[in-house]
Amino acid sequence: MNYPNWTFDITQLPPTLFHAIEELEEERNTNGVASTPDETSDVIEQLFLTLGRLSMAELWHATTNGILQISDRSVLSLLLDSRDASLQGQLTMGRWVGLSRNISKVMREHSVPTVLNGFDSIDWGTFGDATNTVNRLIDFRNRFAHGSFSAPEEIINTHYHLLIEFIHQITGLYTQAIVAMEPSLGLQTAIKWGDGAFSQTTHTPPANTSNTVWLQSGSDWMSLSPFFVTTVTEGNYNFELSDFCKISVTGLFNASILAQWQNKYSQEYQGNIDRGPLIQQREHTTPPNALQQVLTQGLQEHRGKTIQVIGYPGTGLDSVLPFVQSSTSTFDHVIVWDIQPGDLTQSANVLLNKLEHDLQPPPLTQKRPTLQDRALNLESVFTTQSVLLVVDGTEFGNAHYRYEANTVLEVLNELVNYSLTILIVSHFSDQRNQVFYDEQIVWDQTEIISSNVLQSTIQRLCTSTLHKQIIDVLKTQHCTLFDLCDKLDTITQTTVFEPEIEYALWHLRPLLKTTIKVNDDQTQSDRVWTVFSSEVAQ
Amino acid sequence: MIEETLALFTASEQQQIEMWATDCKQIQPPKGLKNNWKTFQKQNPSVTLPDVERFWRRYHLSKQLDKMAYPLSSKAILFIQQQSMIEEGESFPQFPYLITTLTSLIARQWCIWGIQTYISLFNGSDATLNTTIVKTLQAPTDNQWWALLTGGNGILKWLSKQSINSPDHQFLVDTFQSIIKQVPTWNEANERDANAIQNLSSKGKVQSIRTIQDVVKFLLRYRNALIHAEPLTTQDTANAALALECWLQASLSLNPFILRSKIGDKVFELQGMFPTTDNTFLPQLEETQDRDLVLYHNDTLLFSLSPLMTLASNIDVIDEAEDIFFINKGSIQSLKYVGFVNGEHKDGQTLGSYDTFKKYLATIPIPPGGTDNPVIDFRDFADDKSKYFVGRSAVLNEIDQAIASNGGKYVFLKALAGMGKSAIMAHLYQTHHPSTDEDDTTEQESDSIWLFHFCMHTNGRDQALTAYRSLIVQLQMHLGTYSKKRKPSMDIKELKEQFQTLLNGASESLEKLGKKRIVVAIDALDETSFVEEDSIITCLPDFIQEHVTILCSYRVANDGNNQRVESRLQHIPIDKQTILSNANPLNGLSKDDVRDFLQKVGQGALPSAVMHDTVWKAASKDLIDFADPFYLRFVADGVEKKQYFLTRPETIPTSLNGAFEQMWLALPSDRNFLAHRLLVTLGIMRDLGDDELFAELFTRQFNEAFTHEDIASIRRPIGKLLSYDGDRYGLFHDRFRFFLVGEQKDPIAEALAL
Repeated sequence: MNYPNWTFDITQLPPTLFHAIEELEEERNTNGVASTPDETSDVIEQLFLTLGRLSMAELWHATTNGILQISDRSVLSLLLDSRDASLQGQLTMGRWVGLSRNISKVMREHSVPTVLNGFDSIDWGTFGDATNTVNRLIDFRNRFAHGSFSAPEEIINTHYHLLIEFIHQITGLYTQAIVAMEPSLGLQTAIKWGDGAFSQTTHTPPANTSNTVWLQSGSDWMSLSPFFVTTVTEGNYNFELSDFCKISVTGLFNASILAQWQNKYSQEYQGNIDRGPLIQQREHTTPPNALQQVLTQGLQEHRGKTIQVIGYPGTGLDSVLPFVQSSTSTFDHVIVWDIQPGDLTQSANVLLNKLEHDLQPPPLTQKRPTLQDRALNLESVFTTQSVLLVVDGTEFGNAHYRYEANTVLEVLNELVNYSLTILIVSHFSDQRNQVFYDEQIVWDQTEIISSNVLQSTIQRLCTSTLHKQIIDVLKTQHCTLFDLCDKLDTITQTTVFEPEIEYALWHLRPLLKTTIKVNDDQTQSDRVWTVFSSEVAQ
Repeated sequence: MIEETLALFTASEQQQIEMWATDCKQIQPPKGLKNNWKTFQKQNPSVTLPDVERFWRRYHLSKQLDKMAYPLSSKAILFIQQQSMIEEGESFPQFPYLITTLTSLIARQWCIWGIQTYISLFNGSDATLNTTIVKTLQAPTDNQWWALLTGGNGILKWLSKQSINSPDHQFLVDTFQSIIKQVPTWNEANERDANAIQNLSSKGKVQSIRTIQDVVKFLLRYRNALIHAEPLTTQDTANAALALECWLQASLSLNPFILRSKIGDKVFELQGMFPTTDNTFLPQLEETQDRDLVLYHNDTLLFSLSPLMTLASNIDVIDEAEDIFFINKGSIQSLKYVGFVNGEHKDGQTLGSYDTFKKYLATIPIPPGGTDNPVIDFRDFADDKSKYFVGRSAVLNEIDQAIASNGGKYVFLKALAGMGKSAIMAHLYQTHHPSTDEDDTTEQESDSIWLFHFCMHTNGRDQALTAYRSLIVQLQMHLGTYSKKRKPSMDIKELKEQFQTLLNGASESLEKLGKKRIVVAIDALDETSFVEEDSIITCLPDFIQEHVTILCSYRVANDGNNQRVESRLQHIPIDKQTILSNANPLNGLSKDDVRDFLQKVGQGALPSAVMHDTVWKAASKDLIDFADPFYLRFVADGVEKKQYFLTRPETIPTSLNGAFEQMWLALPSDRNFLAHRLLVTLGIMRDLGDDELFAELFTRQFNEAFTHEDIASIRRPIGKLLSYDGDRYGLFHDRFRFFLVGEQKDPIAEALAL
């Protein structure tokens, strides 16, 4: 059969895609364009399912070959996304496209070329961009994937040609061979897909028991396992897209480097996690005497309560965690928790798992216990043994870790109702990071003893020109919001929008000191801002 | 679900099911299908089939939806697609708005078909119905469209009493009637009852949903909750989606009605997702204007829908950006359309339909003043102001006593800003709840007749003309002397005279009604317009009989006076004025009131002593011995939004300024601080705004297209900071305005140096 509209040889495309196009062309020829919205939609679906798996294969390839480092936060996040996706089994088209888009973004950021030629030329666009080709194709597919709806020929044809053009740019799809060698299926020698059929090939991929499907790239190979599988039916071989429901997490992370990472991650997720050694590496491990005193006193006086210690960064608060950890304690259990962005310590589940792992409460009776169920279950331990939980990094505790239902702050705000002792170390911030407490110790010293902590906080918070301009103005003076806006108007030569400045001030709150100034006749009060230490401006 | 279920049946059974689905009128699952279900379950007890109703509803929709009339069809298809994708795990934040858009679209499309049936068959022969139609066209809401079609005085009821000669028109009317009475195709136990899908009567009683009419009521309530920013859960949206699915499926029996439109020498058939061309009907449509939308029943031409529905421009180049516009507001003064693909608003001039509309209105003759309803409905306002109302027993008792013993006098309630004077007046409004329906003559149980007016700088409610026309009609309605044909004058001098005469001359009528007195309650005299010589204050009668008491409230400064108001009250003899001793000026709330308030906000849970103390301290920071009701409002809002917790005192802001700061920072900052911009703009506006206005304003300001749905989604999280009048809204309090933009002078008063 001829495919005159296709500008390349479609028989070289991966078999699932090729077969979908074959069906489309047959329907176009037999019943006309008007009857093909669903077949066109099927090809789009097959295309993005194929590209999604190829994206994962590219990520696996780059990670196992050390081109991308697992320790890199964005790479780690992608691997976890892939893991979550595989656990979900039935992935939506939107998730596939989203995954491909994110993988492509990270590979571009790290200047990693794709093994599949032309794959890196795809503009994946952004969600909702109606002019982007990927979005247009997905939009067309979505229209016809949920009901038998008809469309005029013009619309079908427009998307049909868009599809051809789109596949055309990914040259590797029809020029690079997919090769399989799987002794367990009786494939002792390699076969390759091409010209719409399988044939023997002399190009043999590396011998490997877990990787059986490969993409050839010159003399190199990229494993397509476990995302593509070889099947055999009545002696006929086929390459298929793997069914994610049937892939185990071990099967997914089949390369040793990924398997190691996955094992460690899995153990830590279950609560077998200890960041103690990292905490002891902090710049200072002993707080100033005055802080030590108030802490010791606070812990003695408010046993069984939640105490918040609040102050400025770099003034000694960062030594609280290592100090408590290494001190002789009167508590049966001391658990330290340093919330770090993107790390498992940001997970509400992991914190609860850690408490359950260390404290061994009775088994939960609920099938799907809620946060409240788990906290209540721990109470049996809290009432018989003294437990001290010390938490630092609450500024990162309000973010959900990887689609989790709860945040670490929500866990803390629930535990506050029980009889363990919690010591929470926080910087001054706005009320969006609401932490519940029974007692508060305000450590309002401004002498900097950990410059590194201050510098890293400045780096984290001063992320825009506006932030820097605000610090610049406040380093020498005290300003109300409106004074500051006037000064910024002059600096930026535009009229700034007050709420935007107010938001920025509260964002920078850990670095700023603020007081309420009441006017002489007591009728009006204004909030005044300045930097908390001259070292902030430096 | 559909495909997997179908695959369980044999090829011939599948064929039969497909055959059944070709009948658009087969709303309920066919008997044969139910038998198939039973047989299958008997033979395969381990396989669980979906409920037959659910399967049939979805299957029928998938087979019939693209035969529905456009643009309902395309939105409905989009809805079904998004719903399916949500079930697959995708997320569509705008989905609730799609539900309301579609609800609105069906209500409008049906009603317009109904109006045109009436006009085309009966040439606007009934003046009462004409009046209702024209009133609805002036500012239609979804409720009004629906009421106009299906209400007691609506089109369908009227048409059902007439003899209709045309079988095709009759079929349309019958189909509407049958859909409305249709039982929704859902499993009552597993879908309706398991999800607690039910209606509430105006008195809060649960009403079971049995018909499509009930389903529509449910959807309109969901729509109002969404638009008025009431809290809605994912389950609420899923329930509304299910209800809409049922309504859509029941509507499939309208599929034989097709819209066609001629453009040049081409005829477009407007069905499904995209219009298609079919020139068979060109000779029939030669007489019609290009782009007129014409309704057919199969091959029979019924009527044109223009100018109530109109095509934006050409659809001959198929482009989804093109749109069909529905009338959104139509009077001789103003003609506005709303598009249903993009939600864009256009005026009649742009669409070139204004002249046609003027001619059209002339075909619906109405008696002079027929659309004029002077009585103002303050229900939304009063609901909002009296939410969490507590305490004030001393003031309320004093008001009762003053009314009982001070006949023929004025009673004044004075208060500092934000102390709750309007809450007291709103509480009285709700207690004595006058009917706003001209046809409702239900007697009040109280021994007094209460008339109300709340002065505010919106909708002319600060004008004497508006206030006295409303008060006069309220009184006439109570006394049974109101006639729709004799509306009150538009001359304030006449109204002033008429009001005093009516009030003072009502003693005999009162006796007949078994009433003792008339109480006129006017809130916020300080918010009247001071520009005109005859203001609401100066028009107050200088003499009132013993059977009349006039209760007025106004804001005073820290010295307890309001020079502006009081200087205009001089025509009232001093011995006829009584100032409430408990409101001179009105104090804040007591510590006990704060406890009751917290209990109300906490849905009955008594606050702890620490919490009570914390809130009391913060609320009484400025007033020393009394709590500031304005601060408490922020607390209630924060609790509703789960920013403050009534079990955690440390979450409670320590002052009003703190509360304001927290609220301000908790607003979403997306789309370049649009929520903040909306609030600040309302702060400097003298009138209420609506989504349409802000969509236009921000589109101009930011050179980015905003639809009213965009504004609605931005507005939802700030809903509690707004007070509503229908779909229009303003800031919830003047003190909040002051927080936002400081003292704003009245530009007119300033210009006149008042």
